Amino acid sequence: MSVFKLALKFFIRELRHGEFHLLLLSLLIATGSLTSVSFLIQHINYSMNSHASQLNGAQLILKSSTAVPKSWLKKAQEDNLEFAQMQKFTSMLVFGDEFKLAQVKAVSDNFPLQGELRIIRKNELIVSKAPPGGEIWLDSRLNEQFNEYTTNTRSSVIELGESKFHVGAILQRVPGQSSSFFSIAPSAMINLTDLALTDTVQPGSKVDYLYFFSSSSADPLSSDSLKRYQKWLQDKLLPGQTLRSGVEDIKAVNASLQKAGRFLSLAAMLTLLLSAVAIAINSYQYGQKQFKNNAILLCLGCSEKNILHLELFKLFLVGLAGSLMGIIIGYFVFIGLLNLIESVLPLGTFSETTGGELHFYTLPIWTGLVSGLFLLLSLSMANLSQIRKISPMGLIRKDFLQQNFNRKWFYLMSFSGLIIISFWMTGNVQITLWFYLVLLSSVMILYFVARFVLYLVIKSGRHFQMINRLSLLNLERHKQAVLLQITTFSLIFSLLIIIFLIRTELLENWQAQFPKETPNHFVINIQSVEKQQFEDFMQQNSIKTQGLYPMVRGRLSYLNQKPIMQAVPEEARDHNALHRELNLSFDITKHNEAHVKGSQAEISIERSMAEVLNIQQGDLLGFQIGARKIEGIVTDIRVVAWDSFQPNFYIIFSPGLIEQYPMNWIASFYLNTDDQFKLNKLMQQFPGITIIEVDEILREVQLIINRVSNAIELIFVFIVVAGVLILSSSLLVTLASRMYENAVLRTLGASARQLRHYLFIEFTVVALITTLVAVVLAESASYVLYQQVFQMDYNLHPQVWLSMSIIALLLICGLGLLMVNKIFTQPANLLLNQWTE
Amino acid sequence: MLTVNSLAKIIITPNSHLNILNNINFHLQAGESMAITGVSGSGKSTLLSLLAGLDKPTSGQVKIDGQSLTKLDEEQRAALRRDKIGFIFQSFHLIPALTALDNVMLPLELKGDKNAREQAFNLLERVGLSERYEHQPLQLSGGEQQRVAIARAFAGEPEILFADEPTGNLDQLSGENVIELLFQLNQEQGTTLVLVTHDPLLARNCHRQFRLEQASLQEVMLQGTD
Ligand SMILES: Nc1ncnc2c1ncn2[C@@H]1O[C@H](COP(=O)(O)OP(=O)(O)OP(=O)(O)O)[C@@H](O)[C@H]1O
Ligand SMILES: [Mg+2]
Repeated sequence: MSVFKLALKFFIRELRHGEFHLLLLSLLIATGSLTSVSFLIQHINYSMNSHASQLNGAQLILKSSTAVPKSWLKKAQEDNLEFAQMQKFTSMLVFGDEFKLAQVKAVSDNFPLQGELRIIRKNELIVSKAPPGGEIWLDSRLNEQFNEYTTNTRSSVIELGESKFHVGAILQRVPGQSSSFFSIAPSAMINLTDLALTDTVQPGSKVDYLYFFSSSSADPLSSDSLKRYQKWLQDKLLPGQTLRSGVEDIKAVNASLQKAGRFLSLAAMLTLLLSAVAIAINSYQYGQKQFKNNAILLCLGCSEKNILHLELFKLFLVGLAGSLMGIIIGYFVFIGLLNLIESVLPLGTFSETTGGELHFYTLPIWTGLVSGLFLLLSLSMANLSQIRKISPMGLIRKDFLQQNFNRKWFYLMSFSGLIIISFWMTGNVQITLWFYLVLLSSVMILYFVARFVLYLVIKSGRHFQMINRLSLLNLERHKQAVLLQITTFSLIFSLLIIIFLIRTELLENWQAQFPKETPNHFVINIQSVEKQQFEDFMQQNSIKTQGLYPMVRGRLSYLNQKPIMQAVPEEARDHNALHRELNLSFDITKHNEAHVKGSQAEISIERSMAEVLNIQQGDLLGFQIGARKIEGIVTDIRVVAWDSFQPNFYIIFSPGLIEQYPMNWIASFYLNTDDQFKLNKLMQQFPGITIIEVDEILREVQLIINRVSNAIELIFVFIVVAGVLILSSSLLVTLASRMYENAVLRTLGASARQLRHYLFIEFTVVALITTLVAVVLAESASYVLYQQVFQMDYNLHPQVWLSMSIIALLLICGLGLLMVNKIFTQPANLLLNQWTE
Repeated sequence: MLTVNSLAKIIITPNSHLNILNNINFHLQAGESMAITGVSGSGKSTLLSLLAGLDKPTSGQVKIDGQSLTKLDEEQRAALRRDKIGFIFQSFHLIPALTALDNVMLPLELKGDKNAREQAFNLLERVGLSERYEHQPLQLSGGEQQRVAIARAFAGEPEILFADEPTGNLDQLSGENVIELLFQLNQEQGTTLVLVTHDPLLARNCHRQFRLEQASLQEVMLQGTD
């Protein structure tokens, strides 16, 4: 009992003296990062499990390329179902003399049935139903362009076809968009009743008709009627009509959320590892200080057991305080992450399922608490266990400094614990193991590279004048601490550089490397009868196309007579190409019909697809086109440059077989911004075609990358703080001997400039090696990204080297010099007394 | 060379004022040697560090070569120590990471001396440690460490040398060797010596003897002995 009282007393006293500050901070970072991500993962799971079931089958979406028979809707009414409508098509919006291609959604008054349509009206976020007549709502991208226009002309009217609309609000989130990751064209919304007046939809126009059915929520039985209706519809569906239930949306959202959660958990694991290192250093440092006190207690007759209890109880209090603070911080970071993630992914459904409510999650709290305590105690045991091995006099004489204790087992135990905690957090064995494997091997490489460079520097520094040679001597003496600093920081810096490069220049460079007239528009859905007309149009308007390519939609269904799912390797069964209709083409330049034998043709297949599905030359592929089956033998495997922005296909047939099936044509062309009005003409003449702007796709990709990196950067704050903690703690370990040496030098008359100079050299060497190693790692990673992933010319980034070295110098030298700053102001005698043991 | 005017050191603790040194006055000529004796805790080390500019007095003045230490800042005092002052600490204060030779080289290198290595080696030879120059302080005995400290103190060719019980840790024989060495160097380089000591033999060898008692310094008049 009295031991605990004593421990509490010591704890409070040492807390006041600041003995625990760094230890508490490291713990806070460890548990903070851990709990924030665990809260997030827990929240995702909870929302998905508890709310998805309520939504199951509650909504049905029918998509059709033509208006559905009136009788279908009548039947829905009879079955007591609510329904809303949307017609979706691409059209040209005209702001004065500017043209902008947009996806227009014309919705019925009661849209949406479920979920929230969020808009910003007069700077206020509100939830709304469909726009009133005469109004058009723009998404933020269009709104930006529109604002540019209105500020120039002071007019806020938009023309769509024959009608004029007033811009009423900005679309923030439209429900039902969750199935595709990004919408290609910017979008606008009007009321369905206004649609006829615009006269934009003509016979033959490409329009998607969407019908949303929902059971009236008051009646729980009616979800059965929805299911019945679904069955009834299923049998009536024609080609070009698909039926989708809300469950699929939720699954899609769930998948992307899980991905986001996993992504963040990688960053959290890194933070956890770094802060565990910081805990280890600080508990070592603290343990060393405690030796003396404990030695005296031992001499005074306190038993070993009591001392152990005392220390354990004190550490328990530290662990409790640090973990609790970490959990609180973690909770706030979780809220921040949630907001960021919601803006990254189209999560209409996610917010709707949760209703924005936050559950009180206990698991992350326990995870944080137990992990914090475990890490602190297991890492401290490495020091505590030594008490048993030393006699009181030995403690006082500091024999233990000479003795080499085997801490290996304790650190190994802590590390295994860390892996288990990571499992606990991510809930995913594979990711956790991969993470540690990749991390450990890169740390290994970093460590050995750093060690080698350090060795060279120390070797070559033999000829320095001695006061400066002291710097190198210090580096040599504190080699482990120095290598730890270098390894940690080069890891952090290289990650920062890679994120920075991806964010700033990778996509830009990728875009910039294309020749000037690289196609920036795709046109699909050109009908065979329109083909000649289309080519004429292009010629008359002097738009260069790279030719038209035929496209037949079909599903890959057999490989060498076996159903495709059984024939391909198991790990390839998720491949995209197996789960959707492919665009099949044929070679229009070959007119040699001898390639075709009966119902078999020759096939050229794209290489990466062939590799994944393990398809070789000579294999027989079977395709389902509508109700019919055709076959072809693989005679060619092609490499496709997807970034040429010319129509490309996974599968190309030799001519003579698939021409008989209904086909479309696809073309790509370059149009500079001044010629955008030509698109309008094009769409008027060919209402059925779909135009896709490449710029918009790339812009969207850039946006997503930016938002994802925002989320990572939030976690990165943790990582950087953990890194700085490691740096300052490892500097502290060597602080005493440093201060002593400096004090001696000061008594011998060393000037502040001389002292700073030699300290500066020491820290500069650390900073520069760190930068060197980080830059080498980051440049090699970006080399791989550039050359292998993006197939681009690779350039070094000297400006990044420069700024990294400056940051490293400021950080490492700054912190290092700050710590020893007292040297320059205090009387030599005082310093000497203070730092002599 | 060394002039001290009404020097005082009072240490203020929360409960009391500790009057360690009070109204100390004396003057020492260049090339003279001076011994300070006194019981343990009488303030000898405190006085010595004030004289050498390692600490700041509460009031009063120390002048070395006409230069008042109290008027200098920490930085200027360091420069003065580098150029004119040598100090031998009671507990040596060698840098453990450096070899004996490196330790002796330090003051020379701080001055930017080109021949530091050679000179330091010569000094180590003088104190009889030329064989051990590559050893680190922890590998040397107490007496050997003290001799390295003496070599280091002389390395900068100081005009005035302060030594705090330079023989305190030594046996009779080593003590005598060290004393001999000190005076030898004093004679060769004309160095002014200020020694704190318990050793009557060492005190007797000095031109002047002082005794520190109850915070004040009294000169002990030498009686002719045979
Ligand atoms: N910074 C300080 N704070 C409090 N007391 C101090 C301080 N410095 C010195 N003293 C006190 O001043 C007195 C003189 O100390 P000093 O070290 O000068 O004695 P000394 O004569 O050298 O003794 P010794 O022969 O044992 O070395 C001592 O009582 C000591 O406790
Ligand atoms: Mg003393």
